[in-house]
Amino acid sequence: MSAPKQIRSRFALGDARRLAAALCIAGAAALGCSAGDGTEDDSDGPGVADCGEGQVCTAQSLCAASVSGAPVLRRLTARELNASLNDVFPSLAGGWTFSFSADPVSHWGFDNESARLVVSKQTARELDATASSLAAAVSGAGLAGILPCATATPDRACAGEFVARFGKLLFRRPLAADESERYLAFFDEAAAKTDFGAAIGWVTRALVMAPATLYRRELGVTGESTRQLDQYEIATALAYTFAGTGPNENLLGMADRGELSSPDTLASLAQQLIESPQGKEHLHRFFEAFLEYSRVTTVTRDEASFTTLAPDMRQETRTFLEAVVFAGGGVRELLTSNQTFPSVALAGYYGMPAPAADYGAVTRPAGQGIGVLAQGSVLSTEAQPGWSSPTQRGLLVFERFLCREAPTVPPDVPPIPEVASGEVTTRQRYEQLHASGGTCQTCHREFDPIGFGFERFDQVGRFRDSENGLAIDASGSIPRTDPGVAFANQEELASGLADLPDVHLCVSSQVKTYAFGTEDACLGEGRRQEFVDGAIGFVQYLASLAAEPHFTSRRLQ
Amino acid sequence: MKDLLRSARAKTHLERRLFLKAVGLGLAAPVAWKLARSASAQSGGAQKRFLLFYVPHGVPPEHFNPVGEGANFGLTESGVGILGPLEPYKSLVNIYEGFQYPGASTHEGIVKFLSNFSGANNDDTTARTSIEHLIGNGLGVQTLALGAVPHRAFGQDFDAKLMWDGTAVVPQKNPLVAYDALFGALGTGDAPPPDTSTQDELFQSLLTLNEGEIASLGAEVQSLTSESSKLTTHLESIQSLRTGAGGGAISCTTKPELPAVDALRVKAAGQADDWFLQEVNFPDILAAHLEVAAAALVCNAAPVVAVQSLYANCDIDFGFMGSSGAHHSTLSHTTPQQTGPGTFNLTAREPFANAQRWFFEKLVEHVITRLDVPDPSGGTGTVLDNTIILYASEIGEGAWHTSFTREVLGGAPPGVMSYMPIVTIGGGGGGLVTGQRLNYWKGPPEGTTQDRPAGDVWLTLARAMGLTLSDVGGATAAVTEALA
Repeated sequence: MSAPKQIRSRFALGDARRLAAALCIAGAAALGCSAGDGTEDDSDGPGVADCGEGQVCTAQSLCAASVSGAPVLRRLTARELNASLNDVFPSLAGGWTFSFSADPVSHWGFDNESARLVVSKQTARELDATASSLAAAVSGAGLAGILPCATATPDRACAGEFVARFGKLLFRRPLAADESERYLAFFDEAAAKTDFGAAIGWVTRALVMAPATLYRRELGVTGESTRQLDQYEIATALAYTFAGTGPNENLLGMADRGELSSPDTLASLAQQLIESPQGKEHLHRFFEAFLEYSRVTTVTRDEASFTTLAPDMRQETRTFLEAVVFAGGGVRELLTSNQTFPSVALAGYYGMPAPAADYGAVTRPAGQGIGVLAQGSVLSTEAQPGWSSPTQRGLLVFERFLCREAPTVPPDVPPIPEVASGEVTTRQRYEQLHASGGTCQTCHREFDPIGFGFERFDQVGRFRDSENGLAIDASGSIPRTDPGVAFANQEELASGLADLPDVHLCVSSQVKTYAFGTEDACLGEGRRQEFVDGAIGFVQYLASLAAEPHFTSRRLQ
Repeated sequence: MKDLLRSARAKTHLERRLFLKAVGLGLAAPVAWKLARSASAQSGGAQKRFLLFYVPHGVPPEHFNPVGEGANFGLTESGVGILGPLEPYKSLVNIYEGFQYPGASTHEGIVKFLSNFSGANNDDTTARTSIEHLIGNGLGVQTLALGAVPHRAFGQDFDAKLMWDGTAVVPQKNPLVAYDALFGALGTGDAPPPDTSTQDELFQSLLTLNEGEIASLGAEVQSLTSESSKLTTHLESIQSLRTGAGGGAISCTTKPELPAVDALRVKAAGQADDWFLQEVNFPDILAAHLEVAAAALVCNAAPVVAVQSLYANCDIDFGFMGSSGAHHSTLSHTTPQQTGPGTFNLTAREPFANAQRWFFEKLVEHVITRLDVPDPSGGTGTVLDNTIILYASEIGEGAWHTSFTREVLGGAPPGVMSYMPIVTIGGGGGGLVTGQRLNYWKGPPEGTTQDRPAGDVWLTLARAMGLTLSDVGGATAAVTEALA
């Protein structure tokens, strides 16, 4: 059985590319658009790939067995570093400034792709500014609370105590003797020129800037056929993968005792971490990147009250995700749940029944959408300021649920016919612009027909029966799927997607890409089929990744 | 690169020695710094400054192109006159036409057009350096990169990678942070600054320790090519901290009064970090950034500044200035409308033209008028005389997504031509010959071979700034007519 052929983007995705792709495309076939007859992507369904010699597998491929990936140094994301420093020095919260800029995001929207995270000159400056600020806080009034011996016996031994304890928390492992000595020698130099507190500050700054702090080390110890990750590397991987922060003293204690080896133990710990407040937040980050829904608070829409209610839309979706995901739901529940959780004000804005209290459960009126793709935050984000956007909404599904490639716009776009809005429906206008023939339709027929399914929702996510008095046609189809999917409305579109194994494969590939910080194939296959089948949900599948070979070992090169 | 680092390091050391000497003579710190910088930046006396002003999504040329040729051109006669706000400063304006970005088709070209990088559009990781950082590095100063809504929430994606210094640079999105970093320490009187020599010594020791740790880890992963490469970059970045910002030469003694910054401080009080990525706040943020940029140039707090307005493909609604609609997919995508042989509908794209003109109005209001003052850094003329402001966009014609010269509206040959929009304002300290419309398009047939590479302009600007760069990306030669 051959590996499923997935069209995959090699460039950044997101709203911009959707908008770019919204243009008419000249010479689209040459840019990689399918001719629409199956000749380029025959989508033969989700088979199991063995990824043996001569076979190319991608993150979307369902592999026969899991493998270990490459040994890596993963620079902490800004968010991970910030969380780690706050966890190591909780008593100093608010007393120092974190100065990092935004991290680069991958074409999946993830900010933790290992290959993209480097220490640039800008990063170095921001790291120094952050370390300097934290050092000032450590050496200030809070020092006595952090390091009691600083008051009674401010000497080298006390500094050694600091290096041992906080060095271990920052490095996520005990410091080697020669390593400690280097930092203590630096303390000696600083203490000779300043006072004890300032010298501890300098040591703090050095520890924070150290590569051992900055990188998640996933190198392992070289064996005959693999590199085996050590206990501290595993503890670190557990903490960051499932909670987005460094290991606490309890987890480091388990590493000290060598208790982090059994796959069952690791999966169980992963589950606990995911369900912690930090873990939940970390999983929310996945959905924010995957669905881009929290961008709703940054966009502008031509509707009164939108800016005021956009934060409510974001919270509605967070509550929805918690209800679905943390109750064991998977892709099907994500796409087809008929509940939502608006604020009272937002329910009124939507024109749906009000919940008992803000963000309480509401059953959606029949025929007014289901699942996460009916959320106001998603629909508003994927829209134009003054109207809905079948192209953007279609591309969200096309890219994030089908893992297909959106083409780049060519340099030579032909004139686009002007079609006045208001005289026709948005769908009719888009059909005239994009889908009725000519060069545009070559690509737009791939995703606009999907986006038409959302046409009963306006640019701020409100259900509508008509548009400017004109009847709305929300029917469409998902091109090149097996089985074929045709739908009359958003509910049928969402259900159709939930029935497609390719969708489950696509989403699961993004879960493991987010977890492992790489798109390498075949890293998380142990329970993937169960996730694809709907037997386990997001949390269980994510936790299962801790039991994969990749979590404890790496290939030699 | 190593030569640059050595040069920058030597320059910083020279300035520090001069500074300490001046302080030792009893001069106030700002004056001492000024003398130090003036000494190190001599050669003509004028402190040269550079400002990059990026505006996305190209322009409608029927509203942009000057009327007239050579030194006799007007900026107000084309449609709404996008460049009209520059008319009072026309003698310091240069229009560069007939240039192309190397394969930079569509907005995806944002990642490479300022570096003249000829790689694939979707390559947003390969190392390169864009013109503003080449100039900053060449002058031995840290480029101040600012951005008004420069990227989406979540992080810096493809569309936001305008500036490069080897790796992509993330502009500072918060003008208040930039202002405080530049000017926060001002206004404390003439007391000499604290002796930082101990701090400097310890910082150098810290860097030595840190470099050793990186090198040690590097040795451990030397067989792993990609990881080893990461650590090489890391080591070079840490080493760059030894040179500092190369600045400190601030000539102002009190905090600049910047109304847009003050207004923003009130408006943004108590807001979360992402407030500075919200589209609705864009006009206020851009105004503040422009004022910070102007003050940084005037005070010589940062002689090289870049302001990124939005990110490519941003669909912010420009209704706030009267042109309702998404800036990218509605305004810029409105196509040129030919109505007959030699005639076209000029009003069709007025909303987009007005939107692009708005940027120039803001540039004049918040920057150019502030630079049009005697240069306080010791040079002759005005700050504007000693500055080069570069305006550029990642594409030429908004709807057609051109990256080389095209005729977009037919008329008496040639009709309305779309060139990559490249404009400079300011004399560059006598480095530029200004007041020119320079056109190098070779004529039909249209194609990239009929244009010069935009890198030729970047190379020209680097030379005008006093740098001896021999090459910028794929530049072929400097634009000699623009060089003094």
